[in-house]
Amino acid sequence: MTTATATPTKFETVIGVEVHVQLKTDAKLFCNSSTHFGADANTHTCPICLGYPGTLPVLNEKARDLAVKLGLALNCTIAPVSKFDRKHYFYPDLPKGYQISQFDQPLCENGFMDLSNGRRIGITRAHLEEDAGKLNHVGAEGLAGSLYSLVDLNRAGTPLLEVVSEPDLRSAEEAKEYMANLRNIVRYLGVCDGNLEEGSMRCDANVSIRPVGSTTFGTRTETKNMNSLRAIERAINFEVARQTKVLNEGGTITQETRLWNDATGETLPMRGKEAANDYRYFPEADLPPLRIDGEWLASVKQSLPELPAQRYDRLLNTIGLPAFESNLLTETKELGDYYDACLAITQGQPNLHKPIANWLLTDINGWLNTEKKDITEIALTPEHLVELVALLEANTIGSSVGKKLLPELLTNGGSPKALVEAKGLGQINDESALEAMVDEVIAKNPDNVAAYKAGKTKLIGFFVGQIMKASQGKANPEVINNILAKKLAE
Amino acid sequence: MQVTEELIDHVANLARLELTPEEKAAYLTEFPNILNLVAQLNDLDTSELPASPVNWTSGLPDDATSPTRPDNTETYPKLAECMANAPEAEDGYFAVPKILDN
Repeated sequence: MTTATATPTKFETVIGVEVHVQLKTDAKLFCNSSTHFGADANTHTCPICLGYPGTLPVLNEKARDLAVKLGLALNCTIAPVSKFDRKHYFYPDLPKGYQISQFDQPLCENGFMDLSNGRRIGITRAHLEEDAGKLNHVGAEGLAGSLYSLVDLNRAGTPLLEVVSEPDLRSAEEAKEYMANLRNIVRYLGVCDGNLEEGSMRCDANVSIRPVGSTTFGTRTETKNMNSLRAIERAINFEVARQTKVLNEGGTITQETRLWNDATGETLPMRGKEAANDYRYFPEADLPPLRIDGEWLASVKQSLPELPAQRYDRLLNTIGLPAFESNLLTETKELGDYYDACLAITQGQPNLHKPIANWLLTDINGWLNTEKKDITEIALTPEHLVELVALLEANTIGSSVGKKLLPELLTNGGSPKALVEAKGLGQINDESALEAMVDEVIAKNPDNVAAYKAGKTKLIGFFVGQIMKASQGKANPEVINNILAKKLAE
Repeated sequence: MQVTEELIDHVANLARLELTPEEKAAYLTEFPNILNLVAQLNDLDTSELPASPVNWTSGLPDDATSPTRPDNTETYPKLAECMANAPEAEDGYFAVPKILDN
């Protein structure tokens, strides 16, 4: 008997993401109320962000500037004229009954971001809008089953730049990289603190699947509530698996908004997505069009700091670091800045560039991980790290001594040179002194010497270890190796 | 545009309005009248008219520019009065009725 089993259709994943980037201003987008987090409920409000009738919004110029910077960094065209619109919906977190956003003439359009696999992800647009308030539901864990809700409008009116990608992403990994790059870019620019956990960057992922080779899109779902890069990857992978199962079982995908639950590792439907025209967008007559002066725009472009992709290129191609190290040193602005400060000191000593990178990425990074600190919290200055690496490269100290001194230098700072002198830790390179040590260890371990001579040549490590121990790490291991090999061959 | 009862229901729902059957019946005749009145404007020949100094979409002069203000914070001095207008408040929060029906 033969059973016909249908081959499951092979699907391709299509992802577009919308990221709300909270712009780092002191005051809100359209009023002077503070954006600072953690104040008592509703104390950072005023008649404008509370939506009182008769009030007039006025644009915060810093929010405009930060938005333009991010738009430029994402290779967008900055519109010479853009406008604001009212997006209508009713929810208690929105005091006016509409959100001021930008609909058909956004500030930034047609940008892109390149991923490490060489794929270019289109950025449809990035527009300014105000954030909503925050609800606390009373009598239940969340909205469902709650008896009533408490509204805090401190966040209402906080400036956001909503960055919308094209549906160009093809896997959860790509979406994660896109988000990580975006976070890195906003941090390099200083336009946002890039904290996903605290919601200063919020990512919604539109996910659909389609049979491989198809050129039309499948029905998409929108997934929200991912508070980390890992959550974005997991939520999308879950959603792709869920949709694949539904379609393979002959079902259809419902267009809906789904919430990611990090604890259970699944997405659940939230509410049917309203069609865009249900928001009844119309022009915000209280705000004249936003005009961007061409000369001013050129000066902003000139003043942009080096961005992660540019730093990576420089470390790789100008400094000559390997791709792996170049990438790690670009991952956070602070680490890259620290390395750059070291580079500035070592001009004319290119031999130090690679070892400095290695010390930063291995020993110093390891210590930071253990101590749960970041690079800005260490007492070791770039000058002194360069000094330490120079001592190592000149064989004034051995690497074991360097490693031993490191925690003290990272905690208390100070000159490595002075510390080495004070502790008498200078490397012993003198051959006759080292020969005496080698002779002593050989004399003390006749059994191992015999074993070595019988062919267990790996025992050389044992002898080196004994000498390093006896010399408190000061013996030059290379010289010892040479002497040992010679003596043991006698 | 065909004005149906479904359309009236949809618009009422978006505006969170509850209409009586009588109101619905009234809108079924009033809506098309208003829409038709506006639609008549499309038939006017405006090609000979001078350009308006005002952008009729935004209601603002064509060269209007958004004024801006510096990024300075200010504490609104009469917050208590703002809160006093809330029908319900609790610990400095605005209290609103249950959002979801069980």
